[in-house]
Amino acid sequence: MEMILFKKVFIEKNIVNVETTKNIVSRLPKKSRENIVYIDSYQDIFGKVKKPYLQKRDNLNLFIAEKKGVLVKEAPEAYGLSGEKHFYFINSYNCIYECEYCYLQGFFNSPDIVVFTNWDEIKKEIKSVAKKYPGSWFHAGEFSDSLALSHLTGELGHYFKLFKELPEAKLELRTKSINIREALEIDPLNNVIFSFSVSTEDACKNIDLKTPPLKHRLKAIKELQDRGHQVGLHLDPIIWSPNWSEEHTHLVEKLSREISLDKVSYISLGVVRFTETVYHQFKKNYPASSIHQGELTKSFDQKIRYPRALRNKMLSFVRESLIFREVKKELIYDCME
Amino acid sequence: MLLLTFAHRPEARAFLGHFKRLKSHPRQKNLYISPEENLGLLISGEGFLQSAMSLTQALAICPEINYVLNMGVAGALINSLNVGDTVEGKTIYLGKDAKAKKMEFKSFPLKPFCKNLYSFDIVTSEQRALTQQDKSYFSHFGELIDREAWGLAQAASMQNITMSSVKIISDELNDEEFCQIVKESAQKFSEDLLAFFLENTSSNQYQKKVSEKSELEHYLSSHPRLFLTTAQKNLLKKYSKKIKLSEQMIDDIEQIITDINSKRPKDLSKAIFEYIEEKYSPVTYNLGRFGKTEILKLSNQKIKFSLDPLFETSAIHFSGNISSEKDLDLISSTLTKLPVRKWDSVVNGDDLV
Ligand code: SF4
Repeated sequence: MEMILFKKVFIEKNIVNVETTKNIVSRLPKKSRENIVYIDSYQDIFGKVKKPYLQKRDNLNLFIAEKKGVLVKEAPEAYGLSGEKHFYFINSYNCIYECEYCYLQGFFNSPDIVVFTNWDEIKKEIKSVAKKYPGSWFHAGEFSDSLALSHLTGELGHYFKLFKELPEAKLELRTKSINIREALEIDPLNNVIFSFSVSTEDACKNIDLKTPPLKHRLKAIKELQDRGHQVGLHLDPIIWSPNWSEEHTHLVEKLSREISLDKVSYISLGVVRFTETVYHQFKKNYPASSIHQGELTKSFDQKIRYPRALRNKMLSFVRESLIFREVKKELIYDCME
Repeated sequence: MLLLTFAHRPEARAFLGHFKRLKSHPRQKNLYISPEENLGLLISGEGFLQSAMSLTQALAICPEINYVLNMGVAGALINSLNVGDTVEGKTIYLGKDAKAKKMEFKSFPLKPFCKNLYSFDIVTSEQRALTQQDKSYFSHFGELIDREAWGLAQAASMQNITMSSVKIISDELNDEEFCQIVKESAQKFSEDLLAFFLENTSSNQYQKKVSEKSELEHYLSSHPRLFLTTAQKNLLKKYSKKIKLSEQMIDDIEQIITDINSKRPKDLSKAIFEYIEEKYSPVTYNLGRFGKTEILKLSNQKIKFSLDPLFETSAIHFSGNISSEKDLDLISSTLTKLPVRKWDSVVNGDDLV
């Protein structure tokens, strides 16, 4: 479990006494608790200046705040399995991990973590959207990793309670974390899916910086499956390397050996891609990244990605490898392609 | 050349005493240069605008400057820093008005100068006198406060010049004014900074800029048989980030030069660039080559073909004109020769190995 030492913890004065806030504070490491600062609004500080992204390595602050404005947003097309409506809700900003391709590096002007604690309003909004669009998907982790800090926020229990009341809606918790202790104590629900991003061993180690190694992610998946939880997989982003096909064959073999591939709810595939802003930040932050070896070019939509021929080749190769390992074709979909 | 900058003369006094060859520049009296030591010193003045203007002028007068080291005093925004501590800056923010919670969005990361020093973020304050409440707001962004560093960093960054900042703590958190050099302590601070500088700076840290050409750039731009245009030189910079020169590449390049009929350096360079381009973007290069040899070459005086330059779609565009039945026949027979299915599978990546 990740024990993060935040340099400072900023708490909005108006939510100091909210139960969720108090719980988070009580779970913080002692050293972080000694550096609590009470503020009027997180927006007085967060994003006011351009804080260099890589300061997340040794100068990471935590903001505990109230989310105002839009709480649930419709997700772009091609977000998940087609034909259904997808929404994401905003429970936090930023992530403790450091994947070199992460789009958050070009998104906020600060790497600091913001956790929103006005749960009741967020839940109310989810309920109202779910009522309006039955059968919709909800995603946590659009701006963060869904599980990485869940031991601190204690949010997992809230999700399960809420989605028990919304059996037609589905919740996806997207993660690379192995922070599953709380999940193992909760009774599984068919409409709550833990979806793990997995990459080749080499990419997990050298590109998904500070994330748990592949071996540990697979172990966490297995434990969740054994406990009866629904699990989805994201083989996304697939990254080119001189041995990409062997490495991905190996990854799929490992998946089929170490988890129950036949019980996986869905598998999404995607090839690495960047918006121009993120690409610019990525080049600045990770000039020596192995991602630069690939043939990245500006594409039809101004995004930076591999040429279509290469993308298709890689996607269909991984898709075929999965089908070869008995994954049902209709459970595999291309994400954001 | 290394340029040392100080906001005030008293902070620089020990340096001016030590580096005796530093001479005031006739065009900027607060700029001192010692070409023999490859060293400059600037008394930039206080306030971010003043310091930015001062450094901009110095950089214009002395283009040899390639590293700026801001030295001087700073106030502490945290309790754990004490007067006399030497620290270095990490990122610089500009605090515009603490009461109104106004910060300048732009910040400047600094280059680490000495691995033995603790580094902290600096807030350059527009105002001199700050209440404890003002300081508390600025302390959300940094641990040090000064009056000039942000302006210097802005001037340096506009010219792409590296900057570091080493500060000595002159005021603790509870003092109302900050960066006030009192006579008695000024000499001591200046001497401490000089001692730190002499101990931690090797002369190679500020030697003349060496050529940062990669091996590939060096090899091709100095090749006696080749002539590179400016555009090609720029491309080469881009290619060099991904392609490393190897023995095999040298052999291949020499072979291309031997094989090619033309002796004109321009033609030779063009052929070499095709070879490098294939290494840099093999998929795009091969799609382009297929498109050129199998589709575009079918163009004639009656019909012209073009392709999606990004090869994102396999659509083949054409334009032409028909003035007679003969034209129609020519166009129809040309169209039948188009390898549509093959092209579609090439663009889809089916044929990629
Ligand atoms: S886990 Fe996700 S959110 Fe976190 S750094 Fe990696 S890509 Fe970004």
